[in-house]
Amino acid sequence: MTSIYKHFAKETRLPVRLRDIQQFILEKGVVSRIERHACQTKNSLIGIFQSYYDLAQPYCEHPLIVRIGYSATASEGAQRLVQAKEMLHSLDQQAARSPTEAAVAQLIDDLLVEAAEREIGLPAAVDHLNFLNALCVLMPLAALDIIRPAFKAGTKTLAQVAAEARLPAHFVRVTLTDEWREFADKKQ
Amino acid sequence: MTNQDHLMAALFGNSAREHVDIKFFVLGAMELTADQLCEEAVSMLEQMDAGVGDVEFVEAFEQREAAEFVASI
Repeated sequence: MTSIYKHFAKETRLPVRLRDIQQFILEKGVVSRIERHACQTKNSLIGIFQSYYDLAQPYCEHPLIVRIGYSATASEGAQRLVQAKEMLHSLDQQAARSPTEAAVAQLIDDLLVEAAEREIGLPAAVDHLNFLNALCVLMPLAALDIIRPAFKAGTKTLAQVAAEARLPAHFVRVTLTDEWREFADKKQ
Repeated sequence: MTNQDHLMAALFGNSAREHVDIKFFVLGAMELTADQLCEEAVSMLEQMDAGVGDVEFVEAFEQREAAEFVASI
């Protein structure tokens, strides 16, 4: 079974479309529906992922539903990154989930501390790092291999690359480093 | 009832749903309290339940080959 990272790594076109990411996840058969909602937000929470089994009639066969909320007032680039990051959580392993009240309470507690402050649980660690995984999908290796030399040569600026990918520049900057290639390679 | 209680009720109090997982995307986590996070999460879940927000994220753009982008002036 091809991983989502391997699948998108060979993409040479930008911007990567969210609907293609969604379609790939749905074709895995783990999730029966993904809804993405623009929400009004007022604090620093700009994205939420929720998955549940729908027990109501006529869905008594436990289809897994995923709902994603993103800030309606964030930039288009931030909205795209948040939605991609949250969609990838559909593929999280069982151990990275928070299925009970105690697990959700632990996740919240873990999320609001510095990563180096104390050891945090796997669900929070996955939550912390999944935007890097989203960047692996939204900034495919094959496209980056073409763009990086032009960026290094100064013929394309960070702002131009970010606009082409329709992503926030400060996140795109990370993907244009040599170290990024090593990180993204390991994801495949 | 605290905001965390409200969040737990939103996730676990609906008999038509069996909760599986939740995740958050927080910017500036150090400035956010657990209570604020829960309040915001409840608000987002309620908005999704009510279907008040846009659910059609429009991607009207054309894709372009990276080589074309690099070659463009």
